[in-house]
Amino acid sequence: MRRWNIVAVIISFSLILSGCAGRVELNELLIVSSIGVDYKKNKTIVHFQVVNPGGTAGGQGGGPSGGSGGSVYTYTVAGETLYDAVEKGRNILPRKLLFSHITSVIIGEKYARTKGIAPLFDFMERNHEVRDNLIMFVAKNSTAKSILSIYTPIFKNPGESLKNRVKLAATSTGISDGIKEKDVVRWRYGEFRDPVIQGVEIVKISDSQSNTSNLENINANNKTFRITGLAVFNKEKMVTWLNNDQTRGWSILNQRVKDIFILSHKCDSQKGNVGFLVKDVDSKTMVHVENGKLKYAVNVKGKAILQELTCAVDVGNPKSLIKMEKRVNEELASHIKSTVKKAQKEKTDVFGFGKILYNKYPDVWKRYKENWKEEFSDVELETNVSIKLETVGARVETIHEQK
Amino acid sequence: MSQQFFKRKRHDSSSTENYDHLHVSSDLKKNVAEIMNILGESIDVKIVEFLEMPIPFSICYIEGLINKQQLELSIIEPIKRAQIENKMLQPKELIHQTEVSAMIRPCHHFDLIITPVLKGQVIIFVDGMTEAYSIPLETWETRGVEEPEAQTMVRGPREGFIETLQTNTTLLRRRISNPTMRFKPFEVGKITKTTILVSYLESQVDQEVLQEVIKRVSNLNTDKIFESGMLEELIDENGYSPFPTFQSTERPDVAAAALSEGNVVIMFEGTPFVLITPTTFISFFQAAEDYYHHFDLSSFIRVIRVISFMISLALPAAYIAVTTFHQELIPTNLLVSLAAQREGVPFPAFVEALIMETIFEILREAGIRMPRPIGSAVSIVGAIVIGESAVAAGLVSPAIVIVVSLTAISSFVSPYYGFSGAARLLRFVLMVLAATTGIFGMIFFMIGLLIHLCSLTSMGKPYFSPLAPFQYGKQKDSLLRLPLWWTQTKLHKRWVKKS
Repeated sequence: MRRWNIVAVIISFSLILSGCAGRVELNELLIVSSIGVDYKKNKTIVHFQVVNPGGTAGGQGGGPSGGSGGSVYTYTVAGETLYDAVEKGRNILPRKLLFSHITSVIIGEKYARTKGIAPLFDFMERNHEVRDNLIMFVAKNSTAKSILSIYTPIFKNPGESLKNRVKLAATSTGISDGIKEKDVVRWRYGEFRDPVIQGVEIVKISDSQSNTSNLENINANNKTFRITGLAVFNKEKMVTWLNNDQTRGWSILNQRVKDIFILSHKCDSQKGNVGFLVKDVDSKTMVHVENGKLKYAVNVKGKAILQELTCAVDVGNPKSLIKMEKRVNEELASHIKSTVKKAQKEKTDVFGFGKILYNKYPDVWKRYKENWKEEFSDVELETNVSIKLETVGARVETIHEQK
Repeated sequence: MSQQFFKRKRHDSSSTENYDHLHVSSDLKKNVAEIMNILGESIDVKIVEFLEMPIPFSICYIEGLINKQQLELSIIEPIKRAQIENKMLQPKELIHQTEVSAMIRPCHHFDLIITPVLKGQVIIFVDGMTEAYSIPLETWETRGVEEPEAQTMVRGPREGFIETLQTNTTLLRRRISNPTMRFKPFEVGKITKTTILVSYLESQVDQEVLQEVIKRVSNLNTDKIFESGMLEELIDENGYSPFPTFQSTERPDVAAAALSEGNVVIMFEGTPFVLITPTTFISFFQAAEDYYHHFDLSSFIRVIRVISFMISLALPAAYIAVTTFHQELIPTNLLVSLAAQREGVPFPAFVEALIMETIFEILREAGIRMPRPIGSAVSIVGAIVIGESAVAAGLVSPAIVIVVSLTAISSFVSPYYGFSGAARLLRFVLMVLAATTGIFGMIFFMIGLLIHLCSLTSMGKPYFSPLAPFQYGKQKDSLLRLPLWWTQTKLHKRWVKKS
């Protein structure tokens, strides 16, 4: 009997002492869906895009107060650092912020160029709520604020819309799951390479996009954003943008590609285009030292599917198919080369070439380590792209071929 | 204070009386007077005296417990006729004139008279004899064998046990024509003197278990007992555990299967529910029907039962823990829609869940207890209260209605009603833990629950077997019901060897 008394005392004490610590009801929380960071007069301006549950669920909610208003709201707070802004935000935010469901962090271009990304990461890594797989963006030619001030059609939550956009844009950018926070941290604080972050820009600037009324306008371009090329960082600060083709080159070199679309303009000296979807792309980069110089070689393999042909090519003829394959290979090789050239110009190793060298020749790496940025801009690159045309699709001849 | 509260009550035996010292007298009148004295002036106690006969005799029985026609034809008539035909008949020969097939027992003490007469035997006192005779002529009104109401099934026999032991033993005999089947009678309850039968197959039974059952049943020190549930509680070794360690069934096929597997079945006069022991935790997920359907379907259904046990135990608690402590575990879109539902709800999720659970428990109890004709009224009110109005009035959010109703439905899946009671009670404990310490508390509780289940025994056998202690061979019929041709049951093996 005494044993039971002790057990009862222990249980009741542990229940009473813990006293629901850490308990937060759902209606005491503000679900943060995106965070934006801007730079203004030496201050960090942080935007919290929070979900308005009633507005988002739109009528399916059962509470008597129902739900009204927009699906998301953006609060803007200025502070010295990111966490300072979060703390200051308590003065203007109606509820406790919940960081577990952040889908994206958007950095204003100015912030990225002047202040650099480093001040953001300590809070994001230290806070137990913030996930490390949130997608990072740099707002191209604009501020994070303007990206976070758009109501998007179809998706009520712009953060979710943005996340989905990354996946869909993968055929043009090649990056299928976005650049995650954990990637950036690894690159930024790792020894071997420089980080890149995906860019996002507003499609068309218009006055009406900040309120829900623009959702009633049928022209959807007014209120959407576009995933663009990568922002290249020199470890810390942003230095340049890669264009779309260069972004593809980056993603091929980094084995991030699932499917990409290639449009070749050269169509056998005739006017017209040929478009391919390239899938199962696999690349392998190797390094060897030749006459004291570093030589990198990239082998790219993959399968192509003919998607579109707007000139008269005899698809039934194997020779012309081989020609087509060649076009794809040239196209991809040019992407890769242009990317590397650009990176070399900025002296930012965004491909992990240093890591490849370290893996193969640790001793050589030790020599180059100190001065790697310079060395990187001098390395030679050789590309071997061999994409095999897998199928020409549901039709053999093009309609232009009718005689 | 608590010591006194928890102390089991000792039953004093003063309420029962002993007639050991009363001998049957040779004086008929004295005997009759004694009987009248003991049984009192009850309308159903019949004493028929034949004093004008050459050898006077009287007959005593309880109206309604015996077959009156048979008494008339095979006892009274033959005795009278014999006396008239044979004047030289001696009193001790008188009893041999009766024409009954049952065994006639001479009794010298009133002790041996009173109990038999109360159980439906006819007692004959003969003048000049110092012994009376008891003749078994029991017949009473019984219900017919009907389909069991608490344990229904789609495929399988439609017969259920009834309140009469004799019929129940017949139902078992018809299923197992095995010479080693035994029905061992015991009498329990000092006031009620209820008959119980401990039945087993001598060839299959685990003697250790059998001795344990017999020991417990015969040492039972209680005044009154009316249902097998009372017996269950009194001879249970884990009285405080919410988990039943006896399997109660009203299906003869289940009882027969248990017997054939070497279990002991305790049958009880006056109730259709028999107790099967020893039992295991997993056996409460196994319905008799599992063996009548194809094995793949049965295995699937068993898994469903385990899942619904977990749901009925932990779903409301999991909902509370996840929505108040671990919002990061909910997919974003679901979180947003849950949050939208919770807008404007005044109570914490725990209170919300508690309100709905309590409402449901009230409805369930009302549904069982109320007179049938008003049943529809309660269910309409219940459906409106639970389904619509509570949400519309802003008391609770729609999500909790789904959680509670799913929990409620899941709690009815177990084939044994008593078992779902355990989940039903522990659910509330788990909800409190979830509301105070979140999933951490739930995990703690679950570990405690597992420890408890592993420590339980049923008639000295581990309750959580064959999972812990793990028995590889028995996995063929535990969580899954693998094909019958894989499982060589003990019974099957023996018969194969013999032939």
